[in-house]
Amino acid sequence: MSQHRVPLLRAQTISKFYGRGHQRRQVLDQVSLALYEGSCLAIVGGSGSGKSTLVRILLGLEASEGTVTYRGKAVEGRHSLGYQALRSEAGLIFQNPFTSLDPRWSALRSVSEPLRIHAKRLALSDEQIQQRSLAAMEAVGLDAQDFAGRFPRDCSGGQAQRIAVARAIVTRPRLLLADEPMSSLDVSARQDLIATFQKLRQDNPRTALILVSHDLGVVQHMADRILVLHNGRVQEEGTTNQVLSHPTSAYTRALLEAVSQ
Amino acid sequence: MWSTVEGRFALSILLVWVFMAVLSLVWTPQPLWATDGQQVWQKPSHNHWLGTDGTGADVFSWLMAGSATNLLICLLTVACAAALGILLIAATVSRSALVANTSIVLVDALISIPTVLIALILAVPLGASVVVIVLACGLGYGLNLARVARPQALLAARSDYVIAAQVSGASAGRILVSHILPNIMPVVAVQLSLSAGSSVLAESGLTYLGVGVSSGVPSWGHSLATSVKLINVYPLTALWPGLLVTLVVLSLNLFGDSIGDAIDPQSNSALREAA
Amino acid sequence: MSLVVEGLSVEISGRQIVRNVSFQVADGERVGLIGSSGSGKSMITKAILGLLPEQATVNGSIRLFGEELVGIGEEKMADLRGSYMGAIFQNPSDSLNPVLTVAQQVSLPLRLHYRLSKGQRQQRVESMLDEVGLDGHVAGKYPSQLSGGQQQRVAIATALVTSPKVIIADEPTTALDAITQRSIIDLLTCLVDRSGASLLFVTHDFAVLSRVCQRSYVIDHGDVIEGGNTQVLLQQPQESVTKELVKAARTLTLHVSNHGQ
Repeated sequence: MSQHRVPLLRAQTISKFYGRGHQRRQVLDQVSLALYEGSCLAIVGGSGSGKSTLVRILLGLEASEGTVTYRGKAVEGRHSLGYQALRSEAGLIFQNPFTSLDPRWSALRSVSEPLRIHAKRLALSDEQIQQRSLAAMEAVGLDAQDFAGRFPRDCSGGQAQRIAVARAIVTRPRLLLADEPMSSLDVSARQDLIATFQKLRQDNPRTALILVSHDLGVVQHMADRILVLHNGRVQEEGTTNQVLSHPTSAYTRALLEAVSQ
Repeated sequence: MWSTVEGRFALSILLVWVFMAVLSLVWTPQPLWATDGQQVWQKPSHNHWLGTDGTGADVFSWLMAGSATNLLICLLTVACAAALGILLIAATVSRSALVANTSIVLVDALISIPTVLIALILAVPLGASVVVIVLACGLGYGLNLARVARPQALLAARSDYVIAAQVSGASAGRILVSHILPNIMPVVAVQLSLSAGSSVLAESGLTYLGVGVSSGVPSWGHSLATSVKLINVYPLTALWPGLLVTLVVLSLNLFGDSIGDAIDPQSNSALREAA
Repeated sequence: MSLVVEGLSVEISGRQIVRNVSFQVADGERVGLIGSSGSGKSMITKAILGLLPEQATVNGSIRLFGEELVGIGEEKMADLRGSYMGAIFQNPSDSLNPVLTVAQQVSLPLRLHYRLSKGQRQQRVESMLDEVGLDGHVAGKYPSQLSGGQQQRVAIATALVTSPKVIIADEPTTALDAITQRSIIDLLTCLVDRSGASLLFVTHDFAVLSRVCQRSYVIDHGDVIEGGNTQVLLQQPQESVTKELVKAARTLTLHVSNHGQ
């Protein structure tokens, strides 16, 4: 259905090398993907598969061979139209909330920062910023009054990750990238955060989500499509159901084998 | 920082210092130039609280007047060091590899030149003056600051929260001011207060060498230099400025430690609760 | 009994972190401690290993083969740690010394606790590396040159090289991806069984626990709230905390109809 529309984010034949001379190694090999409005694509792969590098390239934080386009505009360099559009419309969530939140900032300050950066352009008053930040915290299931003044180290992993999610959604982004958002949390916190993401997607049906994960247990609850990455190559891509029930690559089969009881 | 004994001690001494410096501008127990050839190397007495020196001048009055000079040198040096250090740190965390690498090479190369040598070179065109001390120390301590704070600045610059800020569209300047500088502040504060202490020591040393404050200008280094020649005969006269310098340097170092703790929410629970 | 913990309480700066915990591990048995993060389960293992911070006060009794460990002093404890107890932690990149090669790392406990000739030591290290599935050329490498899975294999080799009677594993696979996680767990249980040692395994994930441990204790707020056969706990959890953990593990297990045929 969505195939006829222009993808929100598209990457074409992305290749990336690190190092020089005989130390040069390829981390990504001809990776292509397309993400449509309102959909959730999971990039699945183990450590060293190149998935985190891919995220950085998609966000224009790292250069590569190949092209990335956002809303049809090229993302290349800090002055490109695509990059500028991405900056105001993307939110990023990291694996470890304790390194992705400034330890010296209260939750409210962290959550409101993306709004304060764009306060002039969006013509937001301090009061509006505060209100929207508190609302974002409520939207991820935090008691905003209680958590506004807390520092990351006064929170559990699950709570800190919620603060990080609130920061990512406070600008009402059209594109969310989550890089292993669950893997530093315990199973109960993971389950809660999955529910939070599901609710966020319901409330914002147009927002697209890229979920990077090695955990198929998490992916099955969140993704519409799965792209399996191994050693920098796309092993297979398809709908969640298709990939999980009829895997075509040996790597996917091994992955499924490892999580089956 | 008032909560610890060290903090209270340091802060009290420093406040007395500032008070004495300000007071000396309008009043000293004895006029500075009221020298009396009959009353040289006097022991402490009712008229001369800490005795007199070789010219018969009142030691206490000269130390009091010196505290103003030393405070000025101290503040100017710290300001110079802070400005240079933060400028270099900003260059080190720059997204441009050329700027970053140049600043690193520059710091590592210049840091090997001793402060005394810089002062001696500067004294050639400038003569002995406060400016020599401030420039030489400011340069040396600024480079030191950039070097010491570098690892933490780079750590902060490469952290996930800085990437998050970049993705949100924050400018490099905003990231520097709001994320990187606050996160290296404890190191910077400690380093700068150490520099403040060192500047007091450097003033004494450089003045003794004859490239510090010009003769006739009161300073602790001046008091030391004039009294140290006869330390075997009149140890008390050299003891006072020596004791004063030691006390102030100690206080500045303790002050640095407590300020580091006081502005660091990782170790200060009161600050966390206050926010 | 290899390990008997009776009425163990741990207090750190006025906060009760472990309350009156009792459990035991029989010779050759694999026992699990499960709880969400912040439940105090890691503090129990730290108390057993004598690795609590200095300001902690420990009450109750921990007996290793009948010998009381509470209050025996650091020197004796250090001796027991290396020779009778082996420990594996969550993050191998933290627990391995970055300036030691793999061979040096693995031979360290042997140097500290046994008088062996250089040749004997080398032989023991080689056979140990072989047992954990690392081939010879890894021996000269540094931790940073290894993958997360390889690092954890080195950590296992280091823990087992002195043939300890009790092995304590604190979330040893949490930081790893699914395939590596499975292979490390299978390796650990296999090696523990082969050496006849007992295992105390700490995790937050019932899915992992059910594969490793016959018997388990559920920890919540520093308390043992439930204990018994792992399968029984999974089938009929009594306490709400246990039910929550089981539910989370089930939700996050992959549910696919017919994969990998």
